[in-house]
Amino acid sequence: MVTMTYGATMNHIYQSSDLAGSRRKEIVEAAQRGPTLLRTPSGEGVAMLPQAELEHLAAIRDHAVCFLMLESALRRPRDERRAADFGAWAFAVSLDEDQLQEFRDDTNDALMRACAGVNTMDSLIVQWRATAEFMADEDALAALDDAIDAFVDVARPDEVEGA
Amino acid sequence: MRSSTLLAPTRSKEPEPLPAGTSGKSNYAPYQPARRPGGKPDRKPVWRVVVHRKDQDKWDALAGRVGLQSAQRVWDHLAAQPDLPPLIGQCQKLRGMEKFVKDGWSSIYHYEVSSMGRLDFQYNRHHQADPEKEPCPVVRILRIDLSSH
Repeated sequence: MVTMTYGATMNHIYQSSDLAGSRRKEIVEAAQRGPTLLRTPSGEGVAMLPQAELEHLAAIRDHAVCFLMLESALRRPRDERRAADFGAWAFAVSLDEDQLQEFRDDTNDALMRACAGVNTMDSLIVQWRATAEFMADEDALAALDDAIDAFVDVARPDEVEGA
Repeated sequence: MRSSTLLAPTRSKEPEPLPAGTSGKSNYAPYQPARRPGGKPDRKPVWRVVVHRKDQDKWDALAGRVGLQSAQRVWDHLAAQPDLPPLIGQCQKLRGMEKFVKDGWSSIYHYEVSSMGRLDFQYNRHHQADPEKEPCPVVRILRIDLSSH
C-alpha cells in the first residue's frame, strides 16, 4: 500500500539554492515523507516525491487510460469492436456483454481504491485475463455442455508414467 | 602405461565371515533405487478426477511441462479437496462465470500449476452419471493451458 501524502509538505516551497546549503538534509527528509516543492531560478516549480509514490501514480494513470478505452469500446456495437479498442486490456474482447459490464464495474472500483492508495488492480486484471482466456477457448466452452462421457478418468501422474 | 597391480581389487573376493550374533539378513539393499520424491498421496482419493478427451494429451504432457511433483500436487489437490484452497500454489474462482454454475457443477476455478501450466476445473459433489448408481463426487478439468506466461 502506498500512502498518498499530498499537501503534507506542499505548504512550504524550497528554493533550488537550498539544495546547496544547510537545508539540503531537510529537503531530502521532506521528500521522503511526500511531495516536496522546489522553485527553480526561472520560477518553475519542481516536485520531489518517493519513487514508490511516483510509480503508483504512473500506474493509476495507465489504468485510467485503459478504463477510458474500455468505456469507449463499450459504447460501440459489439460487432464493431476490435481487440485494439481495449488497449492494454485487449483480452477483454473475448468477454461477453454481461462479463464486460462486470469487468467495467470491477475496474471502476479498483481504480477508485487505487486513488485511495490501495492497489488491487493488478490482481484483478490477472483474474479477468484468466476468464477471458477461458472464454476465448471454444473447446473449453463446449466442454461445459458435454456429458461426463466426453471425459476420461485420469490417474496420478506417476501412475500414468508407470514410475 | 600403468601397472596392472594398481587396478587390482584391494579386497578379497571371498566374503568376510559375519560377526557373531547376526543372522546375515539385512534391510540394506545397495542396488535398490531410492524412493522417488513426492511419495504417495497422504490420503485416499475422494473425488473422481476426469479430463475432457480433447485435453487428454495435454494432461499426459503436464508432468513433463511443469515437473512431476507439481503435476502430482495438482492431482492430489483435485482428488482430495478441490473445494478448498490448495496448500501450495494459487487457485482462484474465475470472475464473471457464475452463469455456468448449474446442474450441480460448481463455479469454475483457475489453478496456476506454474508459469508453464494452468488448468480450469469444476467440481460436483453429487454427480450422478447413471440413475442406477450412487452419486459420487467428480472433478472435471475443462481446460489445460501449457503455454508459458
